[in-house]
Amino acid sequence: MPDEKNDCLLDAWMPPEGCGEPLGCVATTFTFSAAFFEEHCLGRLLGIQSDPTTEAPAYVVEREERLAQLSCAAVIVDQHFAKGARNLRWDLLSSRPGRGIQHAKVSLLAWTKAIRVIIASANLTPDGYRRNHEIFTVFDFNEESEAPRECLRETIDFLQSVIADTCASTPASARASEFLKNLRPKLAAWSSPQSSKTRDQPRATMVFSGPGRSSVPKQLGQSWPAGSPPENACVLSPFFDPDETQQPAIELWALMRQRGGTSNMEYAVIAEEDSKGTFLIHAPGSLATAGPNDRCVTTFTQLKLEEGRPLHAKSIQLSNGTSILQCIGSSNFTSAGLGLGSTKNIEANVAFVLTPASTGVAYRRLEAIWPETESIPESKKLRFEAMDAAMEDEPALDQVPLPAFFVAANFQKQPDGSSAVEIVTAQNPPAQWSLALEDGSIVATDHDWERASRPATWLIAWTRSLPPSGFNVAWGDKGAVAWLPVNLRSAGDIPPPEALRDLPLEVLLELLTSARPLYQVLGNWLTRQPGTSYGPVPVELDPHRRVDTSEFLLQRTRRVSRALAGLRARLERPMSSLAGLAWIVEGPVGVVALWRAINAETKHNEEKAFLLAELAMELGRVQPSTARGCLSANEVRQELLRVIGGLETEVKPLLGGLNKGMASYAKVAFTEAQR
Amino acid sequence: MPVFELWPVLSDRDLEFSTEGTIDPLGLTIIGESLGVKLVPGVRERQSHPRFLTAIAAALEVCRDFPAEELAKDRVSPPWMVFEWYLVEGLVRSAGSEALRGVPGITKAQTALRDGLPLSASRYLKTPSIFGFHGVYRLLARTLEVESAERLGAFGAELLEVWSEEQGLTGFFGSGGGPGREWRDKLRAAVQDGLEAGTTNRTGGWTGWQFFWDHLHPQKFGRNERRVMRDALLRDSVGTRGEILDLLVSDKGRKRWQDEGSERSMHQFFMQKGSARLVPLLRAIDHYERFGRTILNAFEAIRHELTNAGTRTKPAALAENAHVITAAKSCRALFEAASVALDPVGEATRFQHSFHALASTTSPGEWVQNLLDHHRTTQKNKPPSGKNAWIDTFGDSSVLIRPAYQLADCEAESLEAYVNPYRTQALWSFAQDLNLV
Repeated sequence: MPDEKNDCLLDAWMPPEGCGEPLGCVATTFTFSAAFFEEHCLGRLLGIQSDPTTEAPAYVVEREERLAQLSCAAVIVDQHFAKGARNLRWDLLSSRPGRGIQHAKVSLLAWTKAIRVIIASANLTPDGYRRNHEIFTVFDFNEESEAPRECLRETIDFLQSVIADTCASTPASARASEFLKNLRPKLAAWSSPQSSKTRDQPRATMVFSGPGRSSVPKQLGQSWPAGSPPENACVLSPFFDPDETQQPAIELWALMRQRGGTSNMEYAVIAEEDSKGTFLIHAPGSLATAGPNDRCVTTFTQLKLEEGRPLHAKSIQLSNGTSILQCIGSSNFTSAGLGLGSTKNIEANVAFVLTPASTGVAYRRLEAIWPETESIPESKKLRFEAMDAAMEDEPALDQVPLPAFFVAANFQKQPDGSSAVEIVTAQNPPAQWSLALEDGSIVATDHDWERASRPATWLIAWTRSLPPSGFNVAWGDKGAVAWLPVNLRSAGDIPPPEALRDLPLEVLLELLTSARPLYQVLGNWLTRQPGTSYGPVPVELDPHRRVDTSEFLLQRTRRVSRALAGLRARLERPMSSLAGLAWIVEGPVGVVALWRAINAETKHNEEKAFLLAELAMELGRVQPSTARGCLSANEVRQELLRVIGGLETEVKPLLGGLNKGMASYAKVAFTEAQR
Repeated sequence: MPVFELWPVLSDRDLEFSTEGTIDPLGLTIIGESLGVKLVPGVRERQSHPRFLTAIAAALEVCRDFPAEELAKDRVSPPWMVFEWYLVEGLVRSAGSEALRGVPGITKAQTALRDGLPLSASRYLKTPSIFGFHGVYRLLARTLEVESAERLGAFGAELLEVWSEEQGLTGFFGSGGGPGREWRDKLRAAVQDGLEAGTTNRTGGWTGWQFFWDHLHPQKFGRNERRVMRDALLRDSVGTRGEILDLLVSDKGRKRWQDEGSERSMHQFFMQKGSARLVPLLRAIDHYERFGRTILNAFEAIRHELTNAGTRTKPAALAENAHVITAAKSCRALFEAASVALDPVGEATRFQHSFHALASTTSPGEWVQNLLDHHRTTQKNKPPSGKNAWIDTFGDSSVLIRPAYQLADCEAESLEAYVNPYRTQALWSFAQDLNLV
């Protein structure tokens, strides 16, 4: 990396140059902050310009608008941390592996012309992304990039297997799977890269571990270049097994030179010198004696970390005089983290390998990717006190997983326009359970479920204005509580934010005729609304402007014409998903909103019929454009024809009461629109 | 737009995040500081020599014609800061073997002089706008109107007029001529050159160095200057600064402070004599400090216990400590009494919000856990983004003190001793400089 570059993890969520429009993302994490992910990670992926702290209305509109354009945004979070209030336009999938935890930190981001994979030690939390010492890597894939395509294929496979093996089968998990599946043709269409500088760059291999997969040490052994075994190993990990056996150390020693000279294992650890000159080593003392024989030498070095930045990076570096392998990612130096023993965490790492054929520059560069350390004088006394993995990388003792009975919760719009939450259940309900919102209000209890005849799929009518992000599930008599996230059944099921519902015709016309981005105009309008928390209504001082011309027929017709042109322009952009198209057709500033506003605010049938016929004509004129990974022109056209049909049904009953000329015009307009 | 290559990367810090917070582990300072401000407006613990107010007034007059946005070559130091460099360097150059006490930045100036280098932003204090004499005395200067909107205030003008006359520096203040005018021009030229150089910019032979010693020495008031300064300090329409200063320099007050040196004892004395405005404030301080001392003693005892243990310890074991038991038993009553006393001075809500958890139980086992939680929360809430706790907590609820915060010796303070200072020391130093004691 160039020296002047600041290696902040959040930068990895910024779009690469020439990447096209964002399509979506799937990410995995152990601990999780929904608010951080939504504002900072998704905000960067979507290129959100407005500031949530100073331009709240504009931010809300922009976020809604841009999220609606994604075909999928999903985060797979270990069940102990899959919680948090959020916007339902992105999915929160609870990963519930049988044993162990979902500990991988993989993010796959896709745009129309690029795909990015981030493998990191950092969870999707403010501490992980902004504060801790973490390690990560970013692979950018596009038509021309030299990033190893195999790594992308394996990452897609890995994410799909995590979804299939550990997440409930729901519409949300199906969306994520479908999104990943649709990336494969894109990848296949890209020509194979011609690497120009293989000697200057490491070979990268994905090292995924977990149930049914090889252990990390075994995979590292397979990735190590043929020839002499490693002579040196360096381990960087905040957490270790607490027991005496130290299986991870034994396995790593087994990869190393057993005959000939000495082999060295260095643990880069947090060490603090106390007032008596003794070094407190934050690692178990049993590491020091895990070597198989006297030729295996273990040393501890003191990490020189920046003040106030805890260590959370994990890495294993193997080397001899000619080759070097560095594995980075989510695996702590624990049995579960390295996939040893009966409990295996789901982990994601990458091994970078340089062989004797690599250049010295590359060798030095890889060797240097290691935090600064200082040796501990041999004369110093050491005292060992390992940090407990339970502090950060294991669920806390009081965190209990959600009972398997609660499979999923899906928010959905009913055929009659009302909303409901579908609770999907399995066998063996716990005793005395309840579902509550974050404010503590109970939504349903086991008694309600019993009264409903214990349905496997239970619909709870939802009358509140905001859909829930999830429920606090309480059960038993010991105060156990866990979170059941709610996801949308389909993208169209979410109502727009309350402030954006049923916008008046004049506002829609203003929005659709403005040259500025929709979120800016709508944000400004919301700011001016009385009774909102966004701000006061400015007093209009210009006497000419104070005359309300909004109902003058001619002026309004002209404005509607300009607005229809604006609407058509929005419909002619490439649509990355049906949800994106639905946002423009049925969203708060969409076709249907305009239709409803015309219905509600025109006083004469002639005017209503005329404006709806104009709307149909404009939809008929739309020439959808398309791009790879986006909806086809035909898909857009079919949706518009459906709307035109609806408009015609609305206007037909009026025709008999209209004057002859207007009735004739309307008929011709609908015929034209559907041609 | 970021560019990533096929290499692993160690992450950088994204924002300024938490570092060590080495003071105030229980968050007792905020309310203590607020009570101190109400009691003695404008005065801070770090202040000791009110004559720096005259120096601030002189700096305002010397620098009055520089544009508001003017900065030195270093792009950070305004003209008044360059004046401050000259003054501090001048005092050091002229002091010879005479000791100078209570001059902020004196050590930096001595080091620069020893190294033969002029004083500059890089060789002066790290945060000079707070820790230099302008920073330390700025609040008092504003409170007394020495400075107003970064110009000379009403009292500043009065002070400078008296000072210039008494020092034989007629013309230093205002538009008239005289020897003071020449000095002002000379100092202005030095500041101008200092701005251009980004350092003090006069040789050792410059007569201006001695000017600061002769006319602005922090402890050498002129007679009339001292009188107007004393009158200004005694005038206090908002707080009780004048009343406290009067009581402090009274025969009984003086004797009591010299004999006992305890703020609680002084406050008890003030309470006997004080006005209806002063007494509720002192009562609030009394109760708040009793509560604060009790929990702080318990916390120090816990640090000591954990230091001796040297390993992870269960909180239950800490509950057997005598200070913890005392605190757990008395905390609720102390909390309630403090809440009542803080109400008339507008601090009850903040107090209750901050410390209510410590009054929720009298069981030592639960109380010690609440205290540790309170410490963690206090550290976490410190600006800008939280500080690390002094005591690590592990998944099995055991705790371990971090080496930097170990406490090998712990002699508990008396429950009568205040945790926070309330300006008596600063006022005493003022009184000494003003020949009031």
